[in-house]
Amino acid sequence: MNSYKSIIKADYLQRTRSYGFLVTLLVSVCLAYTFVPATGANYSTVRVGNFIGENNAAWIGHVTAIMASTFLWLFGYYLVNNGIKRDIDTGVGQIVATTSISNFKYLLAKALSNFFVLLTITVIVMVMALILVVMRGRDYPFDFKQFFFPYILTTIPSIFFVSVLAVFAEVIAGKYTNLQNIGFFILFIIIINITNTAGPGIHWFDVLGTRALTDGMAGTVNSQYSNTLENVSVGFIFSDQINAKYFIFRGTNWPVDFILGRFVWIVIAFLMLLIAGRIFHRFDVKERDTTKKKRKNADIIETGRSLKEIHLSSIPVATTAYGIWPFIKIEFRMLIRKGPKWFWVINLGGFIALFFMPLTPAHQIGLPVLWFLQINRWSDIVTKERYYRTNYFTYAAYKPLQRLLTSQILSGILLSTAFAFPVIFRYVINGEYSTVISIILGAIFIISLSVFSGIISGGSRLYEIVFFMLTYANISVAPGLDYFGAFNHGIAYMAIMSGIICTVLFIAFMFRKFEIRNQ
Amino acid sequence: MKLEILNLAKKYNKEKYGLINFSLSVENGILGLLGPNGAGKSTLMKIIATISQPTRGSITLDGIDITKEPNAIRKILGYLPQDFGVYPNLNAYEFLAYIAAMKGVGGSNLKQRIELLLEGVNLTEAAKKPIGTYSGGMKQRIGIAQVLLNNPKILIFDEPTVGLDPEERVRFRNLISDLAYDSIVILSSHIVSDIETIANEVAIMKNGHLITKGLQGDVIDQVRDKVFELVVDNAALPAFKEKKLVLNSIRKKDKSLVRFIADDQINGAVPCLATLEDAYLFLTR
Repeated sequence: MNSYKSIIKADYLQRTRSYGFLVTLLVSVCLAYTFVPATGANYSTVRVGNFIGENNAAWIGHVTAIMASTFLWLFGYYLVNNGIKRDIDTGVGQIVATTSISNFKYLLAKALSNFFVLLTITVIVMVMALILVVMRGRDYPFDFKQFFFPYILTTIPSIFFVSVLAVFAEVIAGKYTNLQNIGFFILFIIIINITNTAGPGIHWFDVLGTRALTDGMAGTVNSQYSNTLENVSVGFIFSDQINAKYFIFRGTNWPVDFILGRFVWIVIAFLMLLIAGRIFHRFDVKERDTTKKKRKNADIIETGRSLKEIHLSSIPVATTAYGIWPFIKIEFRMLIRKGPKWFWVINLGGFIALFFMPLTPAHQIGLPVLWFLQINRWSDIVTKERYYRTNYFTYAAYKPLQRLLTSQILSGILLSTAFAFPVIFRYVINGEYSTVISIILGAIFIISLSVFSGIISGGSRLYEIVFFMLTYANISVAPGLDYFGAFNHGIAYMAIMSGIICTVLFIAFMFRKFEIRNQ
Repeated sequence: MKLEILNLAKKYNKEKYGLINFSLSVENGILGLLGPNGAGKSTLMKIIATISQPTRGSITLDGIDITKEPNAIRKILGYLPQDFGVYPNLNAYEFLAYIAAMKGVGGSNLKQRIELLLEGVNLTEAAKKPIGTYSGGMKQRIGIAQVLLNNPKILIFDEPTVGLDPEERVRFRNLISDLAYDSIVILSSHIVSDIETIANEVAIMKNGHLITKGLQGDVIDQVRDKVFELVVDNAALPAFKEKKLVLNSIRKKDKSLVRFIADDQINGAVPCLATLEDAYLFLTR
């Protein structure tokens, strides 16, 4: 048992002892602070119709637990879904494979490590919520049970399930990270819709565990104001809180079916691990590559080659050429080749659909989804050198900052703009040039964001999380996050977008400059 | 061409130094760097390759301080890092074209240049296959080919023979010798015989310090008349190892033939011709 604890501990420590995780914690603190708006703030996070709870321990505990459960599902998955991949990349997996640990135990260790990472963030959110109770809820007695129970019954089982789901997805689709990302995105949208719209029996199936809490809130409003409200909004809703009415929320009754439902999800999680244990490759990755393509590209074995030498005198003199066009060409080629070839069939389908869909949904939904489908393509534009360890070549090159980084950005923009071509073309035909500029700014923005987050964090994960949340927010028509002119394309908007792009690129250039000289 | 390193230091944290007051100068020819793990060889090479900044000190190439003007050396630099990677979904030809672009090499004869280099490292047949399918030795040869793309005048090889089979090692050593006529070659290796065969000068490092630097003969002179061989009972071998610096021992039934270093000849010991490996082990003990 002690050695098993050591495995989980080591895995947890290697994930959390990073600059990136520190940034994640910092962001969590800021986010948790915004979960409970101050009185008079211009946004709300949880609202029953036009009602918002007074800031007491029960309300703050419920709101922050609901928000933590939802957000940790949303970005927690992307934060932890590379545990097995990391063991493959580092070679640790091959050592693990030779030990006596069973598949189930190894996967459980990975899931628990994921869980503790997300639990750390949950605890940070909870501490912040406690501080907010002290700051904003001083007029009410502290209800211990109604503050902590939402975390224990909603957030913690929720993050446990997503921790296991991340491991499960890695086992069944480990090589197809794009498929994992998109699959989770679709799953999340389905779950949110079911949680919000299903009838009372949802308590058994509510994986997020938020419905019982929001039902409790709606019930309180209905009993206090003789209403029949059912709709509870969860998420950042801007602008009109000032006109909202306040009610006193004393907590939830904790229905038995809800509590049992939470245990059911934990049992389902263990069953998923058992299934995953049965099909886990145990790092025998190449053995599983039985597709035609892989067989064709199997490792080259050199046989009977005639040995030659390099004759320096016969090699033509090198001609200097310091332009960046060859760079752009190869960077563009690498972007195109990223991911499986069959994925281009989906891309082509999406591209053609953008020509024929009604223009507004093509712009507001089709385009951000098509861009999101390329998340793996964008995410390592500037981090692949480190991942593939070519940085010693690239950083020792002639003017790497001005030539290499610039061409990486340009090739990315070229491709992101190409994906937007059908929508751009249709707006040009309509003579809506400001919208065209907004879309091009959006195409530049997604690449700039990738460059910025990649250089700042040193990996692709931060970008994946942010881009996922941005896409979800835009499909949900959240105001203020429209980066591609779907809802705003005035001069002020374009100026702000240009300013953001210039700022993030400037910071990225500065960081990369430092990085190049300090390997 | 002259590369001068003066009082170079690299400090990683309060206690850990990669290099301490390191000074040496190199002219055309091959300088072999020897030292145990953590001696600072890779740190020194990274600083010369301009991908790491020294904490203090300077490196001048014909009078230009490359720590301040890195692009001055990058145009004529060929660098093979110890632990490098490749883009697996590019083929060898595309990868070399990519590195050529980085080095600022182009023109109409680039294609021919790449083809000849690939032929020279025996990768013509595999040139159109993704590098992700290559063996370790093939990747190492791609690394060697990329060094030569830009007619480099400063060549830095960090453990270049790792993964090469014996024939390839011989051919690589021949190549280095050819290059050294009009270039500065700095080469580090744990395989002392590689350095011994080709380097005209040797620098031995330990804990970030330069222990000695000079022509091979001068370095070996430091252990001349100090290397002996002696047949020792196996039972007495552990005690012997505690008293003397044993370079190697060959077991033969109850006895062992021991090669060791001592200031004075002991009874029954036979003097031996000192080698670079003897000098290295003696100086870094």
